[in-house]
Amino acid sequence: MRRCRRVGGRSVAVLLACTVFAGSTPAQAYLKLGLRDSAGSVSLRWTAQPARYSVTDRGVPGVSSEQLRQAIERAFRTWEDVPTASVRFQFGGFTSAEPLDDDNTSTLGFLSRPDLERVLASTSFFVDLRTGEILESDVFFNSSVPWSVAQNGEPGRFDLESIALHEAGHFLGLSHSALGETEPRSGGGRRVLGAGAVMFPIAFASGNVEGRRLFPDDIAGVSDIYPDGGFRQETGSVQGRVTKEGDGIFGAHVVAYDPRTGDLVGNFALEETGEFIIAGLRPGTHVLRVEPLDDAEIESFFDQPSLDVDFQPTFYERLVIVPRGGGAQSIEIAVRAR
Amino acid sequence: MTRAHLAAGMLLSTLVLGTAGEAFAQTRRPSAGTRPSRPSPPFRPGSIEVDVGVLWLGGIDFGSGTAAISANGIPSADYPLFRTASQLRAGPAYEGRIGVRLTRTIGVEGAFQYARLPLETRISGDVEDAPSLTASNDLARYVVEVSGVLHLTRYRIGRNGSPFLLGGAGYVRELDESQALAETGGLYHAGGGFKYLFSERTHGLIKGLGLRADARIYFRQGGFELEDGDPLRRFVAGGASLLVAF
Repeated sequence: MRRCRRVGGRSVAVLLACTVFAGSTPAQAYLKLGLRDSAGSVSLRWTAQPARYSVTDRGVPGVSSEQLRQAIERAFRTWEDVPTASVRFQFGGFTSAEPLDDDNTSTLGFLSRPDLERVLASTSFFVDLRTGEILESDVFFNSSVPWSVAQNGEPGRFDLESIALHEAGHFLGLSHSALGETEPRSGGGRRVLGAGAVMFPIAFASGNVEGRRLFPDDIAGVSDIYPDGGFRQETGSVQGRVTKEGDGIFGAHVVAYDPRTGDLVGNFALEETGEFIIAGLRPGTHVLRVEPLDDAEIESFFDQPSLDVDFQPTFYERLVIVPRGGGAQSIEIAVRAR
Repeated sequence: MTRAHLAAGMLLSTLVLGTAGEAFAQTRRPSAGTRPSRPSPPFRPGSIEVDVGVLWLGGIDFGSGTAAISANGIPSADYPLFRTASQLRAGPAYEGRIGVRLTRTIGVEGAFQYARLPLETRISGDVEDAPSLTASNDLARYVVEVSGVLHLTRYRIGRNGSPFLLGGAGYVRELDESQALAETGGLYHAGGGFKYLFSERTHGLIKGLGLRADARIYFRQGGFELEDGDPLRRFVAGGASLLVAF
């Protein structure tokens, strides 16, 4: 979903949408939302904080509008509590507007979209194309699916706070992470086997509340966009290339594993040359693994229909030492066709 | 090298060895069955000893781990992606020590060690069948340490050997092969060994030449670590060195 329009006197803005599915995609890593044109690329971010938002004044069976507000507030607070990121939100009151209205107000609320049967929620933006500044961000939760705010979850109902936490990540400018594994479903789509990031595009099963906490991949992502608390000085990055027969592989998914903490943080090769950067890593020893994005809906991650996924998952043969406040460079991970 | 040069080289070597043999020919040997009432010259209080040698450092097992994400179940459990097992491999270190006798039996020593040791992680059991391999990175390790030494002069090993005990603490600095990151920590050691003088003299700068051999157990905290919480790591070391007493 993508269209252009004028917003608030700004020259050009674009509406983007990120969606979380109730059973559809897989893989591993944080990815920032960004825009690219001939002049280069910019990351989407709020430049004015706190980011002010409104909540719709309509509930759904089992969830009142006040419970909706509380679930959203808890989700936003979880992001605010990341010590290495500086993000602030402010509740601006209830509203009768719809979440997708173009009204210069960021609105979160329920919206009935029975046509989107596998979509639990979706986030859209108005952004300044030149700077990447987020001007407005709306989130809708599909009221056609059953929701719950029960403390320990509720069988057969999706946990509203978990999904709100994912959408709040988009609200901040994060795209989908590929840190997860899925398997095909007999009736179509994919079933998630496991996830290592709240920003993984497929939700846990109904009744599961594991998605109420952030994972290292999510924390690295938000800290990369809104660094604070010595994030740049106290963490490091790895930078390198993924190649097959000497050529770069765009979209290859690279994950850094820290044996000391068990943290998994990933990113993609975002250039045709196969270059990748993973930031926000704890200084020390890391194992690197690269895999194709072969069991995902590529459109959940990239605005292009296909990628080279014909290669074998591969570990880098060297242990990578991440420096404090700097980067480990000159890494080339050569992969082979399956 | 021509035959003439070779002959000259042999002659020079013979002269040097001959001089050394003459200088150290005055070794004072206690008569059999008696214990020396005074320490021999190299063991006098105030004497200085320099040792240069090689140490074999034992490896450190950093244990195993599993890279895992959260499984989609209630309650949630780990969903493993692959396994790792890490270790710092054993290897040689080069060591220099300098010691001073404070009393006939007690001395203090300062030491410097350098070693280059492979840090390795075995990666296996990948969920998508990525080939297993051992990833590595060489660490340069620098150690500065101080030891207290108790010379057990009541006991003899052979004619000119005596055992000793030592214990002390030090500082370790480890640097990866790309010199991107230095990790530091503390070292504590205890051990024992013996020193054997094969030459002694009463005159001149050098009072004795000999061999030193010892074994130590080390406890390390800090340095490169692959488990959380900075656990105390234990490893053993043993080596031999050339001893020069002044």
